[in-house]
Amino acid sequence: MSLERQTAFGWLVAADVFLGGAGAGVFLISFIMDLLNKYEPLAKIGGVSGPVLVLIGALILFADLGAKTRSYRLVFSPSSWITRGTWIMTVFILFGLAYSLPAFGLFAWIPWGKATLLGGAIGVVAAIFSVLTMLYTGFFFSVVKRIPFWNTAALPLLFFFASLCTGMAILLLVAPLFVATLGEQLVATLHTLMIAEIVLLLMQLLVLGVYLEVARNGGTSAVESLRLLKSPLFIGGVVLLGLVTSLGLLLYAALAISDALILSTMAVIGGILLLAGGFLLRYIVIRAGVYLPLYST
Amino acid sequence: MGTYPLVSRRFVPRLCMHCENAPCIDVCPTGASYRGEDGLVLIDSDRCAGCRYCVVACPYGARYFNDGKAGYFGAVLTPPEELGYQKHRAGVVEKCDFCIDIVKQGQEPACVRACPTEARYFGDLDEPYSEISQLIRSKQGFQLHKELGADPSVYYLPV
Repeated sequence: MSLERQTAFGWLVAADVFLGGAGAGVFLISFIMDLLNKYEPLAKIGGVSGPVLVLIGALILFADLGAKTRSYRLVFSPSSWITRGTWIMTVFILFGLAYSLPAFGLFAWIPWGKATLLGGAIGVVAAIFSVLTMLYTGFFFSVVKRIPFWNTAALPLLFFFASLCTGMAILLLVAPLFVATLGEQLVATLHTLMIAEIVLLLMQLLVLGVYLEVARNGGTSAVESLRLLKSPLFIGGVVLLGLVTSLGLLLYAALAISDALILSTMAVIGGILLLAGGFLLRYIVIRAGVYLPLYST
Repeated sequence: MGTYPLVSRRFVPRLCMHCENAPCIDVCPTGASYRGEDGLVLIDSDRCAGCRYCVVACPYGARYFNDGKAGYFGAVLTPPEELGYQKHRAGVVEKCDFCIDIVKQGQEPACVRACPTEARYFGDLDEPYSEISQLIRSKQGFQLHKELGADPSVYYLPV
């Protein structure tokens, strides 16, 4: 019996997982910035873009359904991670928007601000559900026993850290837009964001290493998945560009560059590399899901 | 089967195993996959949203997504295909249902009746003295991928 690769899930599911993770990640980081009372313009835009990105991801998942008119039924079966994910994402989007929108002039009429007790409570709920959203993107795959490459405890952790890395990458990408509001602070802000991103990237590298080592010992199907991973897309796109190059770039920028324009350019390039790497990581892990052989002794 | 260089070929019929702890029912978000009164695992195509989670989760590859694309010979359908396609809906997941319509009429599933060498048996697993229960006991029938815990209702008899 030859080894088969799953073909049911493709790049649309990868896009949902990527956007869901990045959206939840950027929200959580923005919420922490609010708690620290720092980088206010960034936290404002990050807080609102998080739920919006998750919503776009959910709409992509909706577009991938074979029978869209019956999508309302997705909420009825709590044993399924799709149902759980639908609930988690719904709560996150609603509470995330309720927390972030009052900071914008257009929505100033909403009676709870970020600083009020109610606003803070809404923010805590949204932050908890942002963590659940990031974990859900991993559990969705890790419960599938038929695919040993996915069926490991390391996968939710890998996607969790990938979510945080891509969330921070969004902030790196948009921070230079706030050169007018941040002014002198831009350089210091970018340096801090970059150092935080470096720490997150190091953790993601560690978890990726653990994940691949677990797969290497996960039997024939998992080893076949690893063989599929030996492609230019993974080694070049995810590891070299998305992790190693961006890590080097950010490290150099954070330590040696203090010119606002050059630093901004490097932040944007790093952000794009990290986001592309984050998407490719999801796409390739999903694509490389190899089934157990039907008959084995 | 096996691991290189110790490999061999074997024909294995692939059908829905109607598992006792069916992973497809667990992962189905809409409740379209359900267990019928007689223990069969069935799909209600009026409820299936076509998410394909069950296609991936089924340990036995028994499920497939009807993408509504053309038949075996491309765009032109053969007369039997035209007839058959009327019964199947595009955009949902399908699988073997043990010919439930025929079984309800007291007959055996079509694969059991059609097999020229009588290699297939159909019966009640809950009945300890039914033909299949006795065959499983006497010939040491076994389940595929028992370790996954799905407890399939299809047993294979060793050669």
